[in-house]
Order: sequence, then structure tokens, then C-alpha cells
Amino acid sequence: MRAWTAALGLLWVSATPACHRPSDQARQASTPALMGATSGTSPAFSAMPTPDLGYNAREGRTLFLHYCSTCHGKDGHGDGFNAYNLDPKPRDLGEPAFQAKRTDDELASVVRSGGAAAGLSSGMPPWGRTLNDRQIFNLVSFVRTLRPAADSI
Amino acid sequence: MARGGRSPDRLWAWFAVSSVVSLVALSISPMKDYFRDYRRYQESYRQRLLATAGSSKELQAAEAETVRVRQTWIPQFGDRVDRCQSCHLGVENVKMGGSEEPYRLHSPTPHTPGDFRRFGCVACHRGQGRATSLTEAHGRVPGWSSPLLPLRYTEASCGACHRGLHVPEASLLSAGRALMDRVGCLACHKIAGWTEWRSQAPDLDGLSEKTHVEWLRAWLEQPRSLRGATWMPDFHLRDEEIDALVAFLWAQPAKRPQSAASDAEPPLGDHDRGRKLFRESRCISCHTVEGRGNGSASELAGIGSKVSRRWLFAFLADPHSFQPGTAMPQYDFDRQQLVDLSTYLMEEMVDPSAPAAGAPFRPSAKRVAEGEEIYQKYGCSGCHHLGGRGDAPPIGPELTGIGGKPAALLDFGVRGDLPHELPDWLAAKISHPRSFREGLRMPEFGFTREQVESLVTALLSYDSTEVPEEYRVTPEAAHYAPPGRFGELARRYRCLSCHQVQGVGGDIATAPLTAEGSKVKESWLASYLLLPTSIRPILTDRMIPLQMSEERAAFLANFMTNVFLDDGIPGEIFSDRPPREQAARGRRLYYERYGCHSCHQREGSGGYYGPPLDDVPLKLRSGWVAWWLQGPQRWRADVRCPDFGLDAGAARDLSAFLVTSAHAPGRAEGRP
Repeated sequence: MRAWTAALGLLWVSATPACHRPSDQARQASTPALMGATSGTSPAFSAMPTPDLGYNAREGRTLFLHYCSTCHGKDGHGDGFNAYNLDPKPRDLGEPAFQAKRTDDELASVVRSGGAAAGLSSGMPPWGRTLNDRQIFNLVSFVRTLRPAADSI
Repeated sequence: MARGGRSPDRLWAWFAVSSVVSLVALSISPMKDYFRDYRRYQESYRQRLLATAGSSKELQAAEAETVRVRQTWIPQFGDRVDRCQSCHLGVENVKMGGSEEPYRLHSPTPHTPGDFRRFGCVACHRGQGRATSLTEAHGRVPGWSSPLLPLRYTEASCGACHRGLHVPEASLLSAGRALMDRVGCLACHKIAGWTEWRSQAPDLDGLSEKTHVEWLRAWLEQPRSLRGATWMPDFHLRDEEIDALVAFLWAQPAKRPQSAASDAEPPLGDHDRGRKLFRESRCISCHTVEGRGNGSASELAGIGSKVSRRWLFAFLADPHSFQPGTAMPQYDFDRQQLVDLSTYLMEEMVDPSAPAAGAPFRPSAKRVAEGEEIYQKYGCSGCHHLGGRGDAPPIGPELTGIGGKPAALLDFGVRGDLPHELPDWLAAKISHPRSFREGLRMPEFGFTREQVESLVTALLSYDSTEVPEEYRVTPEAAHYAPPGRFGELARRYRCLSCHQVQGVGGDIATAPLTAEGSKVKESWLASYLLLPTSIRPILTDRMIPLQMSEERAAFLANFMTNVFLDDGIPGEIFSDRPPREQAARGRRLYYERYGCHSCHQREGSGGYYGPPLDDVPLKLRSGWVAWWLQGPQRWRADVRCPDFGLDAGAARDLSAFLVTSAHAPGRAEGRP
């Protein structure tokens, strides 16, 4: 009987918060599972290809193709059919140097206020009254997925 | 005695054991709570807050944070209680933009961050709002019927409240619903609330006059072998089923066209004149030829190997008596034009791989009867009209509520390879419907991966969540029926196949006609209807020359410019020619301030994106131009011309410049 009580007591003590916490190992192990579940890549879906773009970049892409691709080209290489008419020509938005140089806020600001406001060409019009902040955020999200022209060759 | 001596000992033992047991039992609940993941997430989140605090106020706030269950209670939306923010701590904290889950800032959506208290989390993401452990909250426990929606399908939840076909800002959902509409899911499956579906498939009367048996057989065997872009799905019919179906269809008499009824073979016309007419008529504004064109109507390459010349001639003369529901307008071709055009199409649009016509075919009555059974079995009448038959009831299971169906209730058949999740089941059903069991009838559509994804999103949107009335967004049903003689002509020319009037009509043309009278001048419109010049040369789908008479063009122009008016748009704002200095100010705005020439042609230079503007003086009303410039998206929400935020003065100046003829004397000040 003493053994019984001892065993139960030990169990109780070992489970007492002050004496024991989940190990770091256990924490690390549980984190990826959580991230997997919330980002839609839980094992149940790993067999199917993951979507190319999330909601934001997807809306950004729709907007980009509608409003921007005429000059910037559908892949952002500055080769839209109306680019011939522009001086200076639209840049290759997928260029890594350009991507690294500009912050999201700077990109959003040029989209919102136009090229002239940033000391660039007035050929880039201001979209701040046509698109709302969320749409501009999403456009920038999509622009961040663009790759340089050389990639496609 | 002995017994009495043992008894207290035993009692003591029982007492000890039961107190320990009850102690353990009592401790289970606090222990469970203690080991909840949210505690350490909240502790870690607090450390992040302390590390990123930028002011003493933020620091104090971070220090004051305590570990607790955080919940959003939404009494007006089904009494929802969402405790997701107990772990997802940074969803409203802009400083957590670059963080990982579960601390990450919620990315912006039309309802985020503004509507957290209105919707909570589960309304969009599903899962179990009241739970506070990871697996339970994400709904990945037996018995919970709505597990967390994979992120890529989240747009499905927009569709619970947004009932319309097109949901702005939910591109995947809209694409999915549009595809459901186009491919005809509704032909076989009912969805409560979706009542206005109309098939675009052709009527099947008189096929024996239209085509030949060999073509029909090949078509039924595998439609895409003859026309890659068709939405007619592959029913995987067996040979004997095809034979029976061909026999049945062959026995159906033609609906006689009233005007062009002629049993005589039309004479051969001039191939080159036909080609010229084909191009001028801009058939690819709707059709495609080898994939080039708008694509809302059928591919024309190969049509010469499919139809008979006599049928084509009669059809072009009077398409509406063959296909009353068609979107195709009636061109006012004369007889010679019909002869030339049908000759050209028959000679040019040939598919060398299509089967050649064989001997005349006489189906046996037995086969015809078998064919009728096959026709009914596969629900052909869901899409195709035939004879006087009414619409047959849909043959597939109803899809109302499919998006919320628990995985346990789904029939996975022999598909043991599939994860037992609703989205996977839907994707497999759509991609390979016959792979689940023998004897299924659903045809294969050959969807691409993106199409499957959009369709799954759309189907998941039809779940059985009860949405309170004030949350529902149902687009107002648009009603417009063109009246009187205008209506007769509008139906003849199928104006509403491409243009919209008061929200009714197709969307092939970029120009809604609702305010056409406030926009254009009558004389311009009349000449445009006779000879539509390209307004936007970059578009494939341009206004078609309908070959109408001058009298009809004048009538239509007069009607539209007098009836299709918007009181909010001023007509003319200059009594005579605009003042020269005002036009000069407008010129500077045009070239220097707003860079309009980036997109528009004028005086021989400029871009080719927007319409060329040299003909503005003949075409547009000056008040319209000024109104447009102060908010182009008021005309049509998706207009690409940006809203530059012009004030009324600048808009008038620009209008003055644009309505002053580019070639008028005294206008040669030269552009900068």
C-alpha cells in the first residue's frame, strides 16, 4: 500500500508545474507541425502541387495584368506592347538589383503617387485614386514574386 | 475483534487511495490548461513585444500582458466565440508583419484588419473556435465536420456571404464560379439559390443536315480530338453507346429556318471576297480561329470539315431560327455575301485530321430507341435542347451544401489513395470523376490544375453555414429589356451579347451603353454603326460591322443618344468653340502634367493603349470628356485610365483641348 501511495505521489509530483516543464525539444518538435497546419501545407495536401501565389499576390497579379502589363509586360520585364512608346522605357521589375534596392514602401509610393512625384518619368501615372491601399499592397506583393527576364530564357 | 482490528486499517487505506485519486482527478483540468500551447506562445509573444517596444508606453503595455484565453465573441453572427487569438497573437499587430506563425500579422484583405470583431476567424478559416488546443482548434479531430480550410481555398469563405457569380477581390472564387457557369455544372447538379443558369450548348435538331455521321461519331468519341478548346466533356462512351446515340440524333428532324429555307445547294462563291468579308466582319471578336480570338464563341478552324455548305449558308442567313438562344448576331449580309462567306469558310476552315463523310446513313428504329435511352442516361438535355423537349430534371446529385460536407460522409469508392479531406475529394472528383467506382456517369472535362483549384474553391463556397441576413451580399438582379423597335433590332443584332445596358448584357465589349447618349454625338454613332472604326486597335474583340441599312443605323443612333442618358453628366459645356487660351492650358496638362500621350494617340504620336483622340471633336460631347476626366471609374469600375484627381477647372481645360480639332487652323502651336 505504501508503494501505491508513493507511486501516485511521485506521479503527482512529477506532473507538478513547478518541477517540470515541456522540454525545449518538445517545443521545437511541435512548432513545424503548427506552421504546417496553418499555412495549408499539412501532410494531407503535400501530394498536390502547392499554389503558386497566396491570396495577396494573387490579387496583385490580377491587378498587375489588368492595369500594369500593358507597359510593364505580363512578367514585369518592361516589355509590354505600349512600352515602345515610352521614354524612358519601363524597367525590368524582376531585376534582383532593383528588387534589393527598393523597399516595399518605396514601390507602393511610386504606384500610389506616380513616377513624377518620385522624380521619375510621368509616363508612370499615379494610381492612388484608382486603387486602394490594400490593392497597392497586393500589387507590391506580386511585384516581389517577379524574376528577371534572363530567368525565362 | 480481529475483524474490528482490520477494519480501521482498511478504511484508512481506502481513504488514502480515494483522496489521492480525487486529488489527481481535480488536478487534471488545471494540468490540461497548464499544458495548452497558447501559454508558451503568449510568453514568447510577450518577449517579442518587450524586444520590439519602441516607447515606454509600449514597454509598459508589454509588461502588463498576462497569459489568458483571448476570445472574440460575435453574438450577431450565430453567437460565435473564436479563441484563435490566444495563439495567433499578432494578427492585429502591424509590428508582426514579418513574423512566423502563430505570431504573424494577418495579411490585408477587404475585411482585414477592419472587421475582426464582425467576423472573427472561423467564419473564414473554419476550424473550432472555442477550442484552445492546436489539433482541436484546427478541427482536425474526429467528429468535427469543418476542419481548418487550407489557406489556398480561403476565398471559398468569401462566397458564404457573397452570393453573386462575380465576387470582386476574390479572383479564385470568381474564376471558379465563372467556370462552373461556363462548363455547365448546373446542367446536372442543382445548387439552391443559383437559378439563372443558361446553357451555351447548341440545339441538336437536324444534325443530319448540319454535319455527317463520321464527324458526329468522332466527336462523341472524344470531343477534344476535333476541337481542343471545346467545353463538351468526354463521356467515355462505349462504341455501341456512340452508335445508338448517333442513330437517335440522326433521326431528329431539322427546325426549318423561315427566311433562308432552301433545299437547293447554294452556288460556289468567290473565295477571296469571302476571306475579305470574313476579316472585315471581325468574327474573331467572339470566335477563335486556331485559338486566336475572343473565345466566347466556338473555334472556327475545322468547321469546313464538319458542316455542310448548304447548312452553313442557311445558318449565316438566319442563325436565330437554327439556334434561338445563340449569342450570335444576325448580320445583314446580302445573298452574294452569304455565298462568298460560306464558300470561303468551307474551303479554308478545313481540318485534315477530321474524318471524311461516308455513305448516307439510315438508322434502324431499334437503334434510335436505344440512343434515346443513352441520351437520357447521360443527361444530354441538361445542356442541349432537342425538338420540343422541355428541360429534364438534373441527373446528378444536388450540390447545395457540398462545401461543408463532412469528409466521413463522402464516398471515396476505390480511391484509397486520397486523403480523407473534402478539398482532396472534390479535386479528384472534378479531375477524374470516373475513377471512384464503376458505372459513374459524370464526364471528364480535362481541367488544368489552376481550373481545378478554382473549381474546388467555388464548390467549397457552397457550404451550409447559416449567414445572418445583414452579412449577406447578394447582387441586385439587373433587369433591362430593350423596348419597341429598338428592342427588335437590339435582339436581331444581339447588342447585349457584348454590351451592357443597366447591368444587363455580356462583357465582350468594354463599353457599357447605359449612358451612351451622354457620351457620344448622334452623327458619330450613326456612322460608327455603319462602319465601326477601331476605337482601341489593341483589342482583338472589336465592334463588328453588321451591314445594317443607313435607316437602321440612324434609328439606333437616334434612340440611344436620346434615351441612354445620365442626368449627372453635362452635355456640352462650351457654347461655341472653347476659348483658345483654355485649350492651350489643356494642351500643357495633356503633355506635361498628366502624360496622356503615354497611352493615347493624337496628332500622329503617342501610345496605342487608350483610344486615339484625334476624333474626339466629332465623337464625344465636351461635358462627357470633362466628367470622365474627373473619375473614369464612374463609367466602368475597371477602366484602366487612372483617376488623376483632376479638379473641375483642369478637367474643363483638358476637355477644351480635346474637343478642339487637332487640324483646325490656329492649332499649330506645336507640341512641346
